[in-house]
Amino acid sequence: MKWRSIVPGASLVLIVVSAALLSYLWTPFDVATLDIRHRFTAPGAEHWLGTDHLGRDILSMLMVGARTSIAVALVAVGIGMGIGVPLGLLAAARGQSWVDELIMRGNDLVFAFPSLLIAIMITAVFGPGAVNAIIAIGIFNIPVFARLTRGAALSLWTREFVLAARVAGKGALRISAEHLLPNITNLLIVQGTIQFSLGILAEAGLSYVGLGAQPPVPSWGRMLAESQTLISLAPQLALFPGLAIVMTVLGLNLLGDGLRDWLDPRMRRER
Amino acid sequence: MNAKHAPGCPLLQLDRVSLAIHDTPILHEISLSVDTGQTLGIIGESGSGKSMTALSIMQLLPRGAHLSGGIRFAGQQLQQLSEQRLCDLRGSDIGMIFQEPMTALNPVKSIGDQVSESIRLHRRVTRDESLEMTAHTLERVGLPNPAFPLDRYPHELSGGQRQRVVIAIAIACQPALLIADEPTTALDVTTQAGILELLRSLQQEEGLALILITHDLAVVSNMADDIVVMRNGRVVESGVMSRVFSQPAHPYTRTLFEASALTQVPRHDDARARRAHRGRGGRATPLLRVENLVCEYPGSRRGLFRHGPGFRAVDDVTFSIAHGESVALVGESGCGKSTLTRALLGLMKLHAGRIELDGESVSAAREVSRQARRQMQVVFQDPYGSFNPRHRVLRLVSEPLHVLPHRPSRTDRRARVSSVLESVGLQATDADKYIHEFSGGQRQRIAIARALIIEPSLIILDEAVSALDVSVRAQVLQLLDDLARGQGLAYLFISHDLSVVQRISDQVLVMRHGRIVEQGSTRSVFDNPAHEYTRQLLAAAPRLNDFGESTA
Amino acid sequence: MLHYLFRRSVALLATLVVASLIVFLVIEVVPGDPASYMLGMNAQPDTVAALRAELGLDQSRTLRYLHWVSGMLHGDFGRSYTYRTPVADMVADRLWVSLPLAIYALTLSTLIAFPAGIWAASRRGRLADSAVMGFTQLGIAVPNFWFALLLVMLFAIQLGWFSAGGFAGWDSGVLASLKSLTLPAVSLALPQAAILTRVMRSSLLDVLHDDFMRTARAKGLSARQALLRHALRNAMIPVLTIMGLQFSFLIAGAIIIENVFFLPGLGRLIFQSIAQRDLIVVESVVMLLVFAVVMVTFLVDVAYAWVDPRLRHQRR
Repeated sequence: MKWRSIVPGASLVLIVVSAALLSYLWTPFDVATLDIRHRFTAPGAEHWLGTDHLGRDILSMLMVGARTSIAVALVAVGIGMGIGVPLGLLAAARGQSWVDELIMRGNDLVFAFPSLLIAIMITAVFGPGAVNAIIAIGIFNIPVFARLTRGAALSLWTREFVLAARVAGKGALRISAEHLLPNITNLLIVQGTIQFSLGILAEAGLSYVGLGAQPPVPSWGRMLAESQTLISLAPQLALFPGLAIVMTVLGLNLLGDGLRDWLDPRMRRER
Repeated sequence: MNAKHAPGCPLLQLDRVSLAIHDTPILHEISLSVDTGQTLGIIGESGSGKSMTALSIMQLLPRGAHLSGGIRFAGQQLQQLSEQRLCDLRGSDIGMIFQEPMTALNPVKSIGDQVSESIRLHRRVTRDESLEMTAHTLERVGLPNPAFPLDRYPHELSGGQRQRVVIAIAIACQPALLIADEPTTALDVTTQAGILELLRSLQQEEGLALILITHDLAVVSNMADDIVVMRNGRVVESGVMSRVFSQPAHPYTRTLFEASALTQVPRHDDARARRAHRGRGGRATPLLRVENLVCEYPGSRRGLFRHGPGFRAVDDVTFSIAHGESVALVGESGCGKSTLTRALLGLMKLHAGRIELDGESVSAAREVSRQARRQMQVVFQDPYGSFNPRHRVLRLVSEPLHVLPHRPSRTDRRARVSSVLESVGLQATDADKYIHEFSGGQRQRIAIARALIIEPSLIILDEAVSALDVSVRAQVLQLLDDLARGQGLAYLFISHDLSVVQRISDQVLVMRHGRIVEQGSTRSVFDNPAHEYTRQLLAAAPRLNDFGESTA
Repeated sequence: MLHYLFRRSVALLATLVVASLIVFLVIEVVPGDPASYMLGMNAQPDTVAALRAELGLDQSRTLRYLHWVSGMLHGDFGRSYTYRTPVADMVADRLWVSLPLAIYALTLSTLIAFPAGIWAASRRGRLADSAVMGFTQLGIAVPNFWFALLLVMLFAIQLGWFSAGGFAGWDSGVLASLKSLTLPAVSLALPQAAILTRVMRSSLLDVLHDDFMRTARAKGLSARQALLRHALRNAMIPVLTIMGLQFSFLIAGAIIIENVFFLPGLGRLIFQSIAQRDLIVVESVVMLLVFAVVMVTFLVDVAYAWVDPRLRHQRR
């Protein structure tokens, strides 16, 4: 019963999401206030996870940073699904036509650009920022969903229940909405979870190299970047943001695996 | 190093073998035996446990399997042998053939590699010797060099040829026992006849023991010395072939025979009654007229806008169906019958020619109109793939109502669904269930209900009973018969199975390579086939009564 | 086979052309004039104009695009706006760090993933399988640059076995160079190995369910022999796909990891160039990396044909 990984996965995700939501109402300390006298405080009763080189509370920064990570990854998945799924459905409905060919070649093209290169190019034009990170990761997500949708939809188009709907006189749009989409929802949910976790990793990477959210907005990736020069002085600075990323990504992956086994009866049988 | 065994003791003996997988009982006290030079037929419908019996003998059971009872082969208890000993035995002393030749071979290895691997595994021979033996084995199964060189890959061979390679792998080391699990089920009739003939001659020449597992009584009746009838994991009857055939003792065996006979014996009286019933069929215009129909598939894409040369799947086909008439379209896989079905249903473009439905013409240029769609519905082969698993029966069955100009109200829709469900022998309350709650036969009834709901004049039955077990098949055919008589429906019955066609149809069309090679009344086609291909088809089809005649 | 490869190469060429157009146009819309940027705020207008002419910036866009592309085909990537040296030379220097790093990481991840995946698949459901799967789950969740920091903390700062960053240079010997690439390569390889292990395992398990595996067992192969002789090659098809896709992640990862370890590779070059608005360098490096990704995709297609005879014989 591998789908039981839903429970630990969902718990981890829930912790991170609630911390992010809570940060809108309350954080242990204000992240904007610098307190040089209390810099490099070790984890303890007052500052649970210690303070950084400017005396800011690490836990508070992590909570606020979670907002950035989640927002960027979530919107990027939204972009990928919102554009990729209709494209995939369209390509499948017009299978073997020039529309299909064009969409698929377009996908190949986007795949040729690693997400970081897209981000670099966007940054070169507009300068760095969280929005650019969203766009870069979002663009990278489009072909992922388009391919997945097209593949699944193509095999559904040959299924007899879709033929029966065509015999009943239903058009491609109606069939896509009534018969195809409900049958690939599970697939999309699972892939969405995976892309979400990849998005968290990508956002962390982009803000680590300075292409993501800009100061003073706290972000996990930049916390790691700032910790690097201080690593021998205060190793905890490098430890906690990384653990936060691992916790979130691990939670999402466990959740995705669990959902797949739970939603897909074919996988559930054995294995 | 063929197996030697004590005289007087059968080569293989199963003594009260029971099997459970993850605590689910699969087999209950199976006892059977087969001796050198004998053929044992194991017959049963799907889920009867016949394949698991074969895998028990091979000791290739899935994980979590618990086997009890005795399996004695050539004087040794198979359960007590080490895995290493069993590996030595498999492929060397016991060979096995499987149902699905299309997937039974490794797609990335050449056929020579796959056959010679068997030899090199069990015989101490050099590479050259093994290749020579491989070529010889392939020749024995009817794939002689140079037409079938050793470096051929499975995808370059047809289904029948692949099954011959699987047989070659199984017999390469001259086993004492050969187990064939539904070896011809996935094949066309003419191919099936060839494979059965090959098995028979191998069995006689090598003097090996053969276990033939099948759901098809007709296949067994021509091959086996002894027969074991299985149901729900139990042996319900066993004995010498002729005895079981002439005096079946168990009620289930009798049902099985009757169901098989029912689909086979022509019922011309019924057909005549049906034709007589067609009083209003005196109309001059036929219900469906197909004239010089041509359908082509575009070749594979060569560029963004270019296609390679196309493939002509339906070539100049002409026929007609009268009101209330039942017409059968027979042909082997790849003959173009599926393409023709799709063309009739308006699911693909016509290349040339025309289709006229109840006087309204559907030509190459035009889409099928709603009016035309209302006249025609379809029942597909696969009772599992025909329904969207996410909808309830109510929604599934009422889907064709989409073509009506005025969509019926919610209560009207439910009333119609209830009435068609009852007319196909289900209950009105079934409308609120999901499709996975039904068996294969029930699903085909639901598919028929879906076709009936807009009261069409013609139903196309695309291999509609092929996936069903014989007893269920007989019931569904009976239902179709009753519906035709009650509602004056016309059928286009598409099938690869001659026996089914003989029972249900007034007219027969025989199709090959996209063309209709013969058409005529069912009786005349079956009694006096004019075309050579029709004669081949008829000769190849295994018949139950062959056995009865030879022993009667 | 030839036809298949021909079609793939046409697709490859088309992708490259369109990609180069996109890269060119994106860099083209960047605000600011490189010439005035290079000469500083107080430059005379005619000096700027002269430099523009020297850099070819006064030509039309179409001409400049064609010039850029034909130059790249000849190995001429133009001159850096900042350093006034040929971009090709700068890139070549950096390539000697980035390319070995990528190959090192790819080798490591393959060497870890293949045996681990096969081992886990052959012991499905047992302790070994669960352990491998647990590790891979963790490996996927760890960002490579954080893993790199942890490696630095342990092996450079605590144990002092490796230096925390920098590159010895190939002049100081192969071993020394490889040593300075080891921590970066390990941190790049581990997350990739984790993914690849999972793909290897699940792909093998899929194949184990196929009918021909039963045929293989029925001819007398042991479970292990059947896995190695029949399942492995069939399982390679999805594994190759993922390896091809991973290359794209490897490039992205390498750009970041080079920054962690202060390696003078293409990744560092690209960030320096952005900071200095040396756009011609950005343009060329991005194009080069896209070219690498596309080439790897092509190699994967070739490998498919090698693994799968059905593609090899495809005449259509």
